[in-house]
Amino acid sequence: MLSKGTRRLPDPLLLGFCLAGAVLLTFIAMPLVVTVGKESPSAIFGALQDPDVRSAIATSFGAALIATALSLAFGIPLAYVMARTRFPGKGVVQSIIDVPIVIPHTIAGIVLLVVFGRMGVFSGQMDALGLKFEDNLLGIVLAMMFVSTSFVVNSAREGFEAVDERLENVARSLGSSRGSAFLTVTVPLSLSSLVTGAVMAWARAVSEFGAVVIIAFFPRIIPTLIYEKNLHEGLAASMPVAALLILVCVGIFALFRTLTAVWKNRLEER
Amino acid sequence: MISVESLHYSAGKFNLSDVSMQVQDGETLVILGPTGAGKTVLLELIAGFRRPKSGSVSLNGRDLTHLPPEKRSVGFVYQDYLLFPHLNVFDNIAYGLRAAGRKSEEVRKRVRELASQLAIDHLLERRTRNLSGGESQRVALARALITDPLVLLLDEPFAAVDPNTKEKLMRETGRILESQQKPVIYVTHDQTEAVDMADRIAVMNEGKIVQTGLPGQVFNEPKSEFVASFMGTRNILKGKARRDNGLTSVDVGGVVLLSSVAIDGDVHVTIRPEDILVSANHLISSARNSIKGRVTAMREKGSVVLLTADCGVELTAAITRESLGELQLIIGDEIYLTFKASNVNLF
Repeated sequence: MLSKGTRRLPDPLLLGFCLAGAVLLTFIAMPLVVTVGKESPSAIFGALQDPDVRSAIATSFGAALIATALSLAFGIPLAYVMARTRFPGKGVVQSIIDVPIVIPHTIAGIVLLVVFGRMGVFSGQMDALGLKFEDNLLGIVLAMMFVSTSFVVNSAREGFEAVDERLENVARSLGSSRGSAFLTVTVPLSLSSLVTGAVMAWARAVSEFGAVVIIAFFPRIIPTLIYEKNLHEGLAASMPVAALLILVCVGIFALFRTLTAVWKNRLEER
Repeated sequence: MISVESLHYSAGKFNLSDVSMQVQDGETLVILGPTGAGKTVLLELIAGFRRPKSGSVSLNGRDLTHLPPEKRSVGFVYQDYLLFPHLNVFDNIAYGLRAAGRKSEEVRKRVRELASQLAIDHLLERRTRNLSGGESQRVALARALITDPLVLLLDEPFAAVDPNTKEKLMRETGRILESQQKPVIYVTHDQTEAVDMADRIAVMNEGKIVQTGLPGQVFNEPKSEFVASFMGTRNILKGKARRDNGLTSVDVGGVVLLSSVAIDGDVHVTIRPEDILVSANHLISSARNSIKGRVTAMREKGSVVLLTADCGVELTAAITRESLGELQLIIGDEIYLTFKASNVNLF
């Protein structure tokens, strides 16, 4: 039996795990905090006045938003099929969905260039359609989508799998078509997974550099801008911009997270 | 009337084979069987959630076999009710009307009407997760009834209700079903519930309907060892039957019993414990079977005592506590068991 004294001590295992966790958290947070802390607020604000910086922010966020929207449009149907059906080769399909996570991102850029580039296999068709990917916003969207779409599909699949298929059966017995059962029952019940997948995909897209820079150096996205500044003007010149972008990215991500959390809470209270 | 014709279905190792049945308007057919017999699968086939390999389902002469669930007009209540968790009670019940594009005025009126009929009008604004088992069952039933389906399929509707509420709910549900005058197919694994709710019972085992009949028939005249033991019959014996002067004599291992069932050869014998009379002396009566034995066990069960005697074969009789008191029996006492030839069921 434990005496009173020993019971008051924190669990040694949990204590050890907390310490290990703290090391990791410090490792993530410290460089960010130090970088931002080194810059004066006026220098950070100054960076925001730079039209190049502003346009990079707009390009990054805008392209990531389009990429996420496209991922949702194509990924949700795929996720539903994966959640609801069994077919031969399903493992292969799931592997294809996961491939972008394991492929180094510069290689992702190369393969996209091979297919969609000026000299790519479909260059003739793309030209005929008036589509230009190299050094164009379209190329950025493509690269971002390639590296982030797995998050949408996998998260949506998990969400759909968690909805009892028999709820859809009941909806259909009450006169809903399969599509309307999907929209009125399955989607509302898996909405939080869908939103989480979208936020993760968007964040992944915003942070992408390797794939994007290979297919489209211009228009510059945030990572390209920082890379270029660091290369040509040195660390000192790139730091205020980096600090600003840390604040913007973390700020927006935190905002998304909070909004989703609040909204999920409200859903659960209903 | 709903009619199912030789339905076949298979999924993995499970096979449903040659299931046929007809249920008239206002009739309740109870599908009774153990877990895994395929009862729910059968309902899902009728509702169109699964596709049969062959066979057909038709409703009032209209072939449903190839129609999607939404075109079948079949009301379905799952055993765990499966209320839509993102909708409150009102919106759950209203779902079918909204799916049919009814005006919100009409939806409100009809939901309120039906809810008050089922005595759940006070729950309409509630969230579904705070409902009791009985309340959920009521809401699920209302949700299924609101579209006025042509047939109702109920999958173990009282499985998730506590025993105290169950009886009351069963009575009320029986009343509601009666007022609806629809064919009802009702699934359960509980024999007492089946007898209470059924106009007819179909016993199902391993994907097949093994016996169909009136509740009394299935209970008293099981046609197979499975039905007999599943219905809780205690005295199941094996023997050889021989027709003789309008009666059948069955040798069940040294003891010969007389039965009025016309059958020859190897048979199973069942005698319900309630049909056996216990006495200290040989009874003079019209009953054709009276055999001597020794009491080997006595066990109280509900209002009766199950008395087991060794008569060459082991037989169990159910007697009331009063008659046990009058007989003053103890283990080892010599007794006579008397029962009619018409109570000796053979198959």
